[in-house]
Amino acid sequence: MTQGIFNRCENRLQAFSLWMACVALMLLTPSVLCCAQQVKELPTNHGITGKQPDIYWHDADISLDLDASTKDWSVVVQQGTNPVERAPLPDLLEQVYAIHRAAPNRAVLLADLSAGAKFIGIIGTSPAKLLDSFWSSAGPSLSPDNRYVLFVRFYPMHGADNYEDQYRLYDVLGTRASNWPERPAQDGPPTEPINYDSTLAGVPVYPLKAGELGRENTNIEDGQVHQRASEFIWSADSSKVVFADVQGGVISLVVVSMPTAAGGKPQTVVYPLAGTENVCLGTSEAECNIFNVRSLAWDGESIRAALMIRPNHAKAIEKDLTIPLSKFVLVGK
Amino acid sequence: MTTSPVFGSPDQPFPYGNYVDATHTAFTITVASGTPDEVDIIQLLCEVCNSSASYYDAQISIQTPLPPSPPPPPPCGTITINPLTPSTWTMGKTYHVTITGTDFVAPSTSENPTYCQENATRLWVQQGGDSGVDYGGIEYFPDFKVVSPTQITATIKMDASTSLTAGPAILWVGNCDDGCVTETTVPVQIVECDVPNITEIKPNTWFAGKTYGNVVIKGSGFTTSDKAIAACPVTAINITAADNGVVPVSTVNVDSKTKITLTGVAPPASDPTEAASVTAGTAPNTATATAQIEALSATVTDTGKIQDGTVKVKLVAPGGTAGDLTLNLYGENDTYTQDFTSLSPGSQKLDFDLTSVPPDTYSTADGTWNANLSDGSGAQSVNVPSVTLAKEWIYLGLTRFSQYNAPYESQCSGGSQPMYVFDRSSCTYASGQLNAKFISKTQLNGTGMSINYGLLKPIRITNAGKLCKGKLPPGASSLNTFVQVSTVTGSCNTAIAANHSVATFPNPNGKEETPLLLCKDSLNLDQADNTTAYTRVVADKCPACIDGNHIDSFTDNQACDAHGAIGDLGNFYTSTTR
Repeated sequence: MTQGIFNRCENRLQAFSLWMACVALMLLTPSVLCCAQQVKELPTNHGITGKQPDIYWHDADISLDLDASTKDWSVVVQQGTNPVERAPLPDLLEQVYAIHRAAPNRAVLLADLSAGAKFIGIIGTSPAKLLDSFWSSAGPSLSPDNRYVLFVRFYPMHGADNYEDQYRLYDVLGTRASNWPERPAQDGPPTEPINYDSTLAGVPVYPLKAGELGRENTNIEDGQVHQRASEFIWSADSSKVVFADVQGGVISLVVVSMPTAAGGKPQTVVYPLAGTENVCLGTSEAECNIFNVRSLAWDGESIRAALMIRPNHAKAIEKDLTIPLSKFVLVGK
Repeated sequence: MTTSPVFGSPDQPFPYGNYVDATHTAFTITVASGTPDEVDIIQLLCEVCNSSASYYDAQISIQTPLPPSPPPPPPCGTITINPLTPSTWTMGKTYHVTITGTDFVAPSTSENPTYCQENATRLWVQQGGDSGVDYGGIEYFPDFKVVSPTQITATIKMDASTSLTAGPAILWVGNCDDGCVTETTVPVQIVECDVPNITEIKPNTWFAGKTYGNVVIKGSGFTTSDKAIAACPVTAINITAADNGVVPVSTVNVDSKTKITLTGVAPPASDPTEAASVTAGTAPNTATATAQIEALSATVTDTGKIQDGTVKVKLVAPGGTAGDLTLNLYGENDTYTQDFTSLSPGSQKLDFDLTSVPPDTYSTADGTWNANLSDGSGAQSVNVPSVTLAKEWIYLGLTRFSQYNAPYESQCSGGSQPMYVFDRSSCTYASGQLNAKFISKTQLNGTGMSINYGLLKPIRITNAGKLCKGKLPPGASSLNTFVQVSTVTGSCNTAIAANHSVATFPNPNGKEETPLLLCKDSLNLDQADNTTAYTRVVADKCPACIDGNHIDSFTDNQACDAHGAIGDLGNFYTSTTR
């Protein structure tokens, strides 16, 4: 999530400059339509202050504004000359930190829940309505085009042992049903399906294979736990996302490619850092974690990884790798 | 008696007298050898030719002749000595003198005589009397050696045992030789110098590298220039450091019998902290007192508050000194260096800039103090010795402290929904209703306090699902099924205490990885001004805190509603020590 937000924050400055130019232009020539985009969202690792800051997305076509002026929060949708509409939000939200328009009629709202959990709301803009929502324990990260959400499946934030990070992908332009492949999505009593588990929104991309259903993400056996070991880094064209995962003292780079056709499934490839590339070599299995990965970046069809070798009580050593995607192996094969 | 062989001479067998004059005649009587001693009467006929004759009886004694007399003794020698050097003796001193002269006689024994009974030379000093009537004080000096008839070496001890006193005296050198006493003298002068005593040196602490222009020594017995004589010179001052280095002194002014002023006392900058002996006077009349040479120093004296980024240092230097102190903190990955400007001597509490210290685990510190002395002698680079921190300082940097709670159902608004509550000890369950918001909040936070069932945990984060497998009722899911628990516990398997316990990432119990923070670590939550805002203890895992510099703190807030009802505790510069 953070990388995407940062990119947008930088764009915000550019957008603001453009918007100012547009305002000036419109004053001179009112007939000129301006397409400037204004976004207000919170930075990475924002705190919860107790007072909801202004959050909005404004572009040439639509304005999406959080209205937290009452106890019933909502997103106010102003699209063209249409009447203003409101998409009510659940009252569990502690703080909304971003709204992104994903398509002409679709937006994504990101919010903090309590204890560090995140809320992802899929909002239809016409009519304005919360179409789907789910929780995440980490992430969530929006693709640059705001279409996909990569996130860590929710688990209660405290009180469990051996949490596992299971990564799932949600297509914002899809439906609840399409984001629940191979699962019944009909509502059950009274409002949810009897087997409904909102923690299973989206499709699994790693370590579960697509379609794999039955794996819990709490109380996993020692040594079997997958843990996120980096941020989610999207390619500029939103077609791929890379992140690091660690299990049993081995860090793997994981690349998820977005579906290329309607109804398609994401494809996951993995590259374990083994042999001389194993930055955890020589340290205990337990000491291999997110702190061994300084950064990941896309370099065409390769991944540049800035890794850290962290000997016990000694200065860390940076190890830079460039790994072509051709070396990654398809998960499940 | 036989006479005929006795009297007469061979040429005059008849013993006739030989006329001498009218009243005298002479004759020869020969007594034979071996004649015993006796007294005889002899009759002498005195007949004058052609005149009268008379007889005279004369008594004679015959005695064996006495043996010949021994030769006369040699004449007494004439002992002499040359003028003595030194001829002035100072009380308290010992002199090794060489006496030259004539007629010195070595004693026959190894013991030198102190009275006239040996055929040898002896030495003594007479003082305060007349040799014929009043000998006054007499001091013999047995410690001498007659090297030759013309040289004596002697040790003259004018120490406390001597009976001599200051004043004129006479050195006697004499021979007692078979009644032939010869003596000679040479005058000496005995003097007694003042004995110095030091009672105060001010200042008595001198910093290495600093020149002191006015050091006053107070005491007694100092000899001023106008009172000084060769034997009792002006009181000298010598200063020696404990390492035997001489502490230079420019001038010594003996102002009075009780005061000496030194200028230019300049212990070298290289001197360590050590004592210096200040000696006044000349042996044997000296007095010694001690001054202290202090090397400039800078020491980290207390790291007990390192969790606040605070240390104490002690800077030792002359008053008026100031200089920048550079401290280095050595971590596992970084060395943090901070300058503290214009620090003066004394104990200083120094705060590291928590906004600049990089997160790391720090264990040692050292540094340098560039001390500029006010006397213009220049800057001294004073090493701050390496010190091991009282405890390892694990500094996390600025950290966000979010808060979580165990929501109370009684605080929740809104409707309810079906749920199941399991007793995991019996794998039995109760079905009923719980507030829907309470259910969600308990799912999120991991624990909630229900109105009717007490403390509940979602079944998915307990082992009840495995223990009671197959016994879950239809409709029970991970989202609507809870387990009764007695306490809120974290991954450290200890009870979570409100406003006390925090959850961290990675799991502090070390099961998943070796975490920086461990269960039971006490955290210091500091403001930028190095003051502690809160303390917390690690007790649980916070998976969401993987986003970095984020810790979740358990609060006693019972709120169930959202919308920021439980805001962050704040952002704090956080550390622990171990």
